[in-house]
Amino acid sequence: MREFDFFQFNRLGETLEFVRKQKHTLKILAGGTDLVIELRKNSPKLGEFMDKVVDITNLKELKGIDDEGDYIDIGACCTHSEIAQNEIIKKYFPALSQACSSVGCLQTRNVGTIGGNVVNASPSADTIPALTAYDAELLLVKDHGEERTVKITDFVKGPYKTVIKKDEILASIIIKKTAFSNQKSVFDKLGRRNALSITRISVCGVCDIENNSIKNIRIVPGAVLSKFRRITKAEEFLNGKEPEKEILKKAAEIISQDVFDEVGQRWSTPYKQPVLEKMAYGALCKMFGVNLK
Amino acid sequence: MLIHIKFNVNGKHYDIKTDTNKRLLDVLRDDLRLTGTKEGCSVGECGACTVIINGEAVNSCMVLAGQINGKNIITVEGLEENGELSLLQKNFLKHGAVQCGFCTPGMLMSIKALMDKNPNPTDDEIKDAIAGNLCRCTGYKQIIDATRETIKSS
Repeated sequence: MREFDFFQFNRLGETLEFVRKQKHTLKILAGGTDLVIELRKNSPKLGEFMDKVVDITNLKELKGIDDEGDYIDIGACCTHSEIAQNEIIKKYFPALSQACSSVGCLQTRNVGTIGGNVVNASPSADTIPALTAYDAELLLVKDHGEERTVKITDFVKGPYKTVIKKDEILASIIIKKTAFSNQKSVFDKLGRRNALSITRISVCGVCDIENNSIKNIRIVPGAVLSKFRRITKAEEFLNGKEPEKEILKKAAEIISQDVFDEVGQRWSTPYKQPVLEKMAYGALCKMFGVNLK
Repeated sequence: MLIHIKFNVNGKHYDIKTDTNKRLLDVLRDDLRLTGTKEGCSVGECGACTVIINGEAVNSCMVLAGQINGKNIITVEGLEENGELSLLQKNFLKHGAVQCGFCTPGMLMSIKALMDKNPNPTDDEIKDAIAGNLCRCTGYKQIIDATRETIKSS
């Protein structure tokens, strides 16, 4: 186990001041379901000089889910359980609710936070595909009241890499309400078993249905690309079409092809490419209530 | 490095100094000598170390000592009622839900957390509550049967 000092402050302001002064030697703990494991392993990822842990999990300023009219503000330290059960999230962002309820197991969801999941930026993070599908923005704050907002797609630079600076804290996740009249959504993941497993491949989809045609669809796979992104080729193909089996099958082919055009051939490709295609097909069928067979 | 923490375990107040890099699991087992909580995988995949913190089932291997300051914790030692096993524990024995016994404390705590919130859960809710608890002996059926009988009679 790494040796470290442990800090908790009552207010976000005090925390930010401390973080500004100590930035090169500390790690922020937001839930801790990943960080505690890294600390115990004394992982090199922590950095040689890391000797302070600042626990922000209980800061009131980082809790709560608020309906602000045009948008929903999700405190960075809301747990996956809190988000999965929240009625506002279920109503406006059902795919995010599904993603949060499929993180790890209940014990992990009760402690792990959405902010921790986003800033850790694992390629298999379950919340990021849903946040990408809903065009979420992240509010980053620092000492002296400075703040900036960054789009989720600009925030994650690659596996475990983000644009957050050492003196910044992710305060909240802001998602504009989309004017869906009849939202359809899905979040499906493939792990080696149901609970606890790290996501191997996931597919998140969100869209509207108007006059039985697909409108404004967003499709984001998880754990297969180095950066999370929408599969616009498949989205363009699907928009305006009716969700019929052959159309969805073709879209699933496009999704899988587009992903593997980007990542290239790897040792896992003969497995992952057909699996992603089948998963995408299954997820699209589930989204539109189409019988798979 | 040391940290001063105050918390409550099974109704008893504790005010201790311990190492900052201990996990709740280590505080329970080494500092408090409450060895009912078991260490399995140490990485949050098996649920053997499950305890209840402020009403929620949590893996105590993923929580640092500093995080429990001011919290109320229930461990398997807190289940007994008037010096006897709780009804859930008795039903575990009756249904053969305890075989090697290593998963049992965690399993009991996950089910207690569920029943404290939802006294009449469905089978699917029971399965979801214990999805994070691995048992390599029973095949889970006996555990669900024991839970079901406890729900019926409480």
